[in-house]
Amino acid sequence: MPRSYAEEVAFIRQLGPVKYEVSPGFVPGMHVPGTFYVNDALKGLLFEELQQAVVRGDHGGFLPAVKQLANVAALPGIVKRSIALPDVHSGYGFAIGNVAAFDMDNPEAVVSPGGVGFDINCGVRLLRTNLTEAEVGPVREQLAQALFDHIPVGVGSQGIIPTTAKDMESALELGMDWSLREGYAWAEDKEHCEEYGRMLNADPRYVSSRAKKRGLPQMGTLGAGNHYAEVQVVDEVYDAVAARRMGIDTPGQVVVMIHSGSRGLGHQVATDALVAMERAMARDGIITNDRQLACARINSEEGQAYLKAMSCAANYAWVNRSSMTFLARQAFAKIFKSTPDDLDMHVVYDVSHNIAKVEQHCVDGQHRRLLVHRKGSTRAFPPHHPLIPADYQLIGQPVLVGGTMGTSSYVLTGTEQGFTETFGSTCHGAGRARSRNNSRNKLDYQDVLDNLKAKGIAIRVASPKLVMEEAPESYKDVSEVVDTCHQAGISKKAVKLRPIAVIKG
Amino acid sequence: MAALLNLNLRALKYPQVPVDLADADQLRKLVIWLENLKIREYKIVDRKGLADTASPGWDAAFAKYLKDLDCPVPPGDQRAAVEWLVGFAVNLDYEDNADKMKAPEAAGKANPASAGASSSAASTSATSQPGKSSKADEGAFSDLDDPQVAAAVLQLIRAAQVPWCGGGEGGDQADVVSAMQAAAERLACQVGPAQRPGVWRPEGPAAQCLAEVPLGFEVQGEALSSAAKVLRLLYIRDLRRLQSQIDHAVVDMQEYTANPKTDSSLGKVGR
Repeated sequence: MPRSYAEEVAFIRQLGPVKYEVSPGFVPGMHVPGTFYVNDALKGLLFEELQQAVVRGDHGGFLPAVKQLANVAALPGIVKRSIALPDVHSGYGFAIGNVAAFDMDNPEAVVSPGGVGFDINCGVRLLRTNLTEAEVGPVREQLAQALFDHIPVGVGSQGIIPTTAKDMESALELGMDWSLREGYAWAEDKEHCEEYGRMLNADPRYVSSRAKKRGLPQMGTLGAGNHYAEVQVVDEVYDAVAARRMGIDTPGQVVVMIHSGSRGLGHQVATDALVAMERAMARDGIITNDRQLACARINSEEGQAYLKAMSCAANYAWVNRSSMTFLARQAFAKIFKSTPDDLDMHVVYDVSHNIAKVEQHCVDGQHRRLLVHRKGSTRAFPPHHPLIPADYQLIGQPVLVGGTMGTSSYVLTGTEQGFTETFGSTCHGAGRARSRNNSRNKLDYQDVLDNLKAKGIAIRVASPKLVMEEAPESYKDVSEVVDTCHQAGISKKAVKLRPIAVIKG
Repeated sequence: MAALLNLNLRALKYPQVPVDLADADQLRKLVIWLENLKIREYKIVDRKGLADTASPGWDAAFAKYLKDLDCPVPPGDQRAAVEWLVGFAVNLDYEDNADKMKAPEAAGKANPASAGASSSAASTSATSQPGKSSKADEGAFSDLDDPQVAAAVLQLIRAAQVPWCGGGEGGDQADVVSAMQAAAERLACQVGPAQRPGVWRPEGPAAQCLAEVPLGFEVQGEALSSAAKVLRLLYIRDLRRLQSQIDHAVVDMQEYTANPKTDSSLGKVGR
């Protein structure tokens, strides 16, 4: 007998102004409760989604995010709670915007490719400049074109950095160290990058040749989907000390944001792993509530193979963002007839919002080694954490939250409260409010482009018809998302950025 | 120390700065140069032992020379002895030329600017003008008695172009202190803002700056909070130094390995 909407909602309890808990029992076999963070403006979407699913019954359609959150709480070896951030929306297996940590010392604990996502190490990088909006404004169109010429975009795009199969092997193993060795990155770039731009357990032997083949020509390309490169300006500074530390404290100062991932390579790694894990689940008798939650024990052959391949894909994504940084620096140098050095084009930070990492956390007063899955969630470590760069020890790790095309982006910093509550994680972006198909049907791409033009934003798009999938109207309001995280205390607002030029797939 | 040594030698107009004291030949040549031109302890005929820098007997001659000068450095450490010798030479040179030295913008007044140059002058005159000098100032700058420090301080004050005339009686520590404060202010106003953003903070004394440092976690009481901040700042400074060394190493490596290439004909924009 299916439950009514009222019966479903009875499992959800409000813990604070923006914090809700989903009690065990909401779906079968929950080991821990689920927690989600939404404010009043955002909670409507989540509850509506649940209501529609109840009306629809078990027949077809996607699972609502709240159900997905609870299904993850039923996976073997999960600790403390399954966490959804304000930008949460339905994804493959895990909701996008879900954080889940599994105990490394529990032999039953699992790793799941669905908890990382298909675009492994999709992330955001921010470069600062010493230019102002007044200097860039008049050459905005030329600059957008120069970036478009240097950083190929779109489905099937190919990069302008010559890469051999041998380069590729090294890049998968070495991550940003490869970029450094070959001279595409600056020494300082590495220190301002999560994991210093290299996952040490990467082993290219675990990456299929098909995946490598897909990745080879795409090095230094942005890709399609929600990926973009934006020229932005500092719009508002909330935390002067943090902003000054990051060197982005002057309103009107120009910065460059690059949002990209591991392209076809990461997608293939995830697909390969899902096939292997279905076999492992049958063998080890792992039962999940959702077929999409394919997983394997962390210490099983399949689990280890996935983690090693995932690390390669993560390294590829960092190399990719480093290559694009190199190309963006060239484009700026060309337009402003200067050098990237003189333009002070340093990497402020580089975050990853689709990744699983082994981290140390304190759970119920005990020191634990956890495999933290962050899918559509950004690591946000607090001040003084040993894994954040020397420069940011006092202010906490910078968190880069990309808005949607044409809307604001934010720079946040990690907090102590976030470290204890959410395994040091916060939101990653706006989060979808409409599915891709839904937006394609309801929005006209010309309106979307005109709208951006009206705001004075220069735009270069490879495939305009895909633009409406990514239109601001398809997404939640990023400001509401960021404010909710700020109010919950899991991250702190530092700077707001506003786009003036967009390059998109 | 090497930096101060070379600074002093430059002030003495030694022709071969920088000097590497680890090189016995350079060290010996410096010693005879100092004796010939600056110290002149011996008559010219007696300088032979020191002048013959290739002789195996040089070390013995140098040891005797130090003894004759009443050098306080224990015998055996030639390097420390030479450092002392240079400081001694600066002192002598200063005493000889103090009358000719004037503060740059106070040239018209022609006051002898010999503050802090000789230890006796500095300590006596500091007490002779109690109106200008507080006890705290004296404590803070007690090593002005050291001629090496005095020379470095003077150099700094001159570099900052602070208008300054030394005390009328040939040296006033309080004046040096106020001149240094003026120099610091000048540096703060003119050099500071040129620093990278985030590095330079113009406002306020140390305590105020410390209050603005975010600690990032809660501790009870202001004193404990300040102490925690200071400890963290010291640690971060060390960490930053280490990171910079790593960055330098990476840059050195890139000299050999880096060869970035682009080929725009490969580029293909997708659909």
